[in-house]
Amino acid sequence: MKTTSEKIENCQVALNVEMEGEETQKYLGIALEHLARKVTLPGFRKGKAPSALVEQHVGKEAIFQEALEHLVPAAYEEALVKEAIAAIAEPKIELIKIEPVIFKATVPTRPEVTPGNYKDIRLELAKKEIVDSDIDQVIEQLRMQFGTLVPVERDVQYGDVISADIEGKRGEESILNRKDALYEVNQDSKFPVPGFAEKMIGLKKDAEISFDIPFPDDYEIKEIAGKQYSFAVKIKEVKEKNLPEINDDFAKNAGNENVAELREKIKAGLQSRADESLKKEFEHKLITTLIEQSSIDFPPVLVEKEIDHLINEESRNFADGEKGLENYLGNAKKTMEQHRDDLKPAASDRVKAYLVTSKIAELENITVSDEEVEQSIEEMVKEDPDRAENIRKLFALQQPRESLRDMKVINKAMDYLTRLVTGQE
Amino acid sequence: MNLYEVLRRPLVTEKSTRLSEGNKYVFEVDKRANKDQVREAVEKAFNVGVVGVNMIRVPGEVKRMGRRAVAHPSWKKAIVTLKEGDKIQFFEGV
Repeated sequence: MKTTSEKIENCQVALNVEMEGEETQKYLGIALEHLARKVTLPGFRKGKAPSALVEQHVGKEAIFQEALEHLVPAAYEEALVKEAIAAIAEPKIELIKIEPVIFKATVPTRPEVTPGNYKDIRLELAKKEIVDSDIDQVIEQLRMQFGTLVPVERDVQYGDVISADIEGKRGEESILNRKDALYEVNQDSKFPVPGFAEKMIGLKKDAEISFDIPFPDDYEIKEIAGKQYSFAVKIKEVKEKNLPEINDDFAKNAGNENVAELREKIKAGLQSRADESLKKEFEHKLITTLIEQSSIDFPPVLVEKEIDHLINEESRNFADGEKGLENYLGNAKKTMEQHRDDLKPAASDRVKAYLVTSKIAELENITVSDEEVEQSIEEMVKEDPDRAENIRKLFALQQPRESLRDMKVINKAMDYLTRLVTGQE
Repeated sequence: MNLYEVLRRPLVTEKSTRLSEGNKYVFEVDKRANKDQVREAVEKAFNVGVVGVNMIRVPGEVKRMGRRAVAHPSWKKAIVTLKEGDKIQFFEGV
């Protein structure tokens, strides 16, 4: 076997392998035996026909095909050892010639990552102070939720809700015809037309009114923008919004002991939500900076794998998995190919983020011990006790265990970096 | 009966392959043929020496093909033992 290898772009190695006739012959023999074991010839039980007969029966071509299936991977493995290449994923193999067998493999190798001066990055983890007015807003929304509508005998005011028959048309063309529609009279309501709400003000129950009003020129629906429409409204009932008082009863309705507790809970909720989104923003900024100042070279297979991963995740949102996603894409007039292309930038970013952080983890000797892995498995079990058996079984396997460890390392590294860039370390 | 009509075809089966290791070759022969004719035919056709010939009649069977019964005719099988060292290659164009 003759091999040559050459480094090419993106941490890949082009590997050329030329087999000698003898080696090929050996594999042909093996392939023939293989086939002989599977073939049924008349007069023989399955797999009992002599090789010579089988060879005549299936033809040289088929034997060659079979041989290549075993020969190429085996030769590839041998060539890797010979050329001292550490492959990290499946190669792309191109068969150039058979007899003698010559093929070319593009082998992805370990990414080369050199982080920049990550120790000099300084970022601020922003903190949002939750003030009373934020809480008031939430409480206001809650009051709306728990509010009731009470019919009143008075003129319509802003903030009221009316029940009315509303009809809007232009000549014969009707754009709106609703009986007993509930309409909230708000000063800045743009529905159905800006200025409509204003016309309701001061009307009483059972009042009927018709008026012409134009849609503004910049209205969203082009067909009717700038056109005059006439509306006829018959008010059937005027209702006032009766909002609950903010007292302990109200707090109880919302599932709390008293108002103070309700406010406290709202505050905590708002705080954790704000913190989370700020933290995400912060991590995103951190990673972008890291990627920017690092030199990252990696084989494109990694991105492809990440895309596979993303698609796999997306598919889970559909009842019938990947088929559902394909259908969905079909409706959006997109092919799987295009979709993969769309995912490429995001996938590539994720790969880079992963590579940089794991490299930093390596440089900083951040590791995760077996006990820690065990611990997080137990946490998962606690969260989902029904599937405890399954979870334990899954993580007893080498690969899921390692990827869990990997994930923990990345998290640890992220924590470290967070402390580092905020000046806590 | 003409000599060329005696041998109809070689039988290539698991059993016959095993027999060929003991230098015995199996043929389907004409029903009217006798051992002497088979010996002569094999010696001429394959240019080998024949030590012995055993023959057997294989009775026909009635087989069902779906709803129909199909009669398979009876035939005659000959097992020919060759002189030591002689060989027959059947395997072209089986």
